[in-house]
Amino acid sequence: MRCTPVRTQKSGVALVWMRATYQRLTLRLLCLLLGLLAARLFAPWACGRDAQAWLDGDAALQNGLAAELIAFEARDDAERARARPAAIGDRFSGEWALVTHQMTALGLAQLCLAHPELRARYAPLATQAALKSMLPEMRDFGSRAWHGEDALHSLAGSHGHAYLAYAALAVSMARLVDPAFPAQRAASHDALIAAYERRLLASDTGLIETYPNEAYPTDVAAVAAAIAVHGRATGVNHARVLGHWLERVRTRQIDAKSGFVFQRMSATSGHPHDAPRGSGTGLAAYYAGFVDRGLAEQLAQALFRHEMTFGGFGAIGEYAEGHVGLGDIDSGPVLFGVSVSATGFALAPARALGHHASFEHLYRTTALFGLPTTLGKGFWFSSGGPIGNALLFAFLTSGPELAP
Amino acid sequence: MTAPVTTSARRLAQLARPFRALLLLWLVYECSKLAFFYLSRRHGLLQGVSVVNLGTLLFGVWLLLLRFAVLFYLPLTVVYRVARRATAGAHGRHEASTRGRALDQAARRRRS
Repeated sequence: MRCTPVRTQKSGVALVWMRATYQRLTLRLLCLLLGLLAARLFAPWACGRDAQAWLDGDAALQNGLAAELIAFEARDDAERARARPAAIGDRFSGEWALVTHQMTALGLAQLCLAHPELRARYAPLATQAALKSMLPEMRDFGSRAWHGEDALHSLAGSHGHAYLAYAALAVSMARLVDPAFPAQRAASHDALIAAYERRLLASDTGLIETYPNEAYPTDVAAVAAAIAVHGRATGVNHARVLGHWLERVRTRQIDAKSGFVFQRMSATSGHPHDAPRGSGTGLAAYYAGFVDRGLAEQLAQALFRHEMTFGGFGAIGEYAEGHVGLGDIDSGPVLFGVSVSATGFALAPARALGHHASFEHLYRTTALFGLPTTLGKGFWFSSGGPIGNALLFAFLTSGPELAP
Repeated sequence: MTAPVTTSARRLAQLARPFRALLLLWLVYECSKLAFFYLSRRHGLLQGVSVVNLGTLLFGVWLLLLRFAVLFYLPLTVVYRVARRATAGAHGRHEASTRGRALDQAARRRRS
């Protein structure tokens, strides 16, 4: 077979065309890779710009978020003064309202501990928010669950009422930082702490019920935290009950395989009623920090073993190995195995216990979905609403509250 | 005085012309962010103590989509386009000279 000159010319041009096409495609691919690299660098940078400042305790950020939450509390007070608030019937709305005021109080108290010069400004506001979380309309959802039995009017009883420990912890922290805390409210708080202490010591599982036949190790961690901080504020020795609780958490409430605490258990038998989960463990790690650093670190280690990172963003897995689910009111939606709550809650132990890399990854994800802005009085996560911002305020200022 | 300003503005507009869709995306995002900030404060989105407003929630989803586009798609596209422009000129010149050389070689072979 002989090649004619025309054929040679055609094959030469085809070769050149193929080479040019190949070069063009290679260049396009290189440009695309450059673009992907830019997105990979830009998105984590844009979302994580404030992470280091939060770790360093940047005053502008901390005071900015505090200012927004104080403004929210003032608006809430004005609204209450205008129209007498009705009891919040729905359990979850009630829990959210209580937690919003509680976390605001905790964040403000933590700022007082971190910056004693701010104590005069923030301590009275911490007291206000803490006392608000104890109001009858805030705890009404719990009274309804206990068939009309009010937690503060049944202190001699054996029912757990552990939901009110969130408010009790806020009051403990307010008492720790506010020397002008009202004496009458302090006496009522002392009685509540004494009731919790008695109930916890009587429990072989180290659990007391939140609602009838429902015990949550995370809520009991809040009970222990409230007792521990009460001891620091008043000088009362609670070592026995705290030791009892610590021992039971380690032996009965933590899943040995995953290191997560069980989300829900039987207070009497100690049988798990739900899976070991990240959201409960995250919040329990924060509360455990008020009582014992060792336990907080143990729970934090379990959390960060379940951390998943992608492109510089981090999130915490909700369910322990061998368990699956779509999430619930505690975790928020579970997508790709990670949950909103576990990710947000893990910010607290990450900051307090010095897991800086994890904090940065988790903060980027929080900022990606939280839409932080400085448009208002200070700093605010636009998609968080008051409860999300109150929670993040407490977690992003976590550290000074750690047990000595 | 106005002539150089007009010329600069025109040049700037010319430079931004290929990126006008991306600029629009960024502007829509910033405006949506501003609107959502005030809307979510008014309605207490996810507040718990008040009813979640469905409209605000949907607007939040729209804003999140825009945020993802601005954080991931925008830098990717800008860098891709700038890199393509930078390489296109050099590649075009290189391609023309290669093709010319190949045609010359083919013509020489034909003559021989």
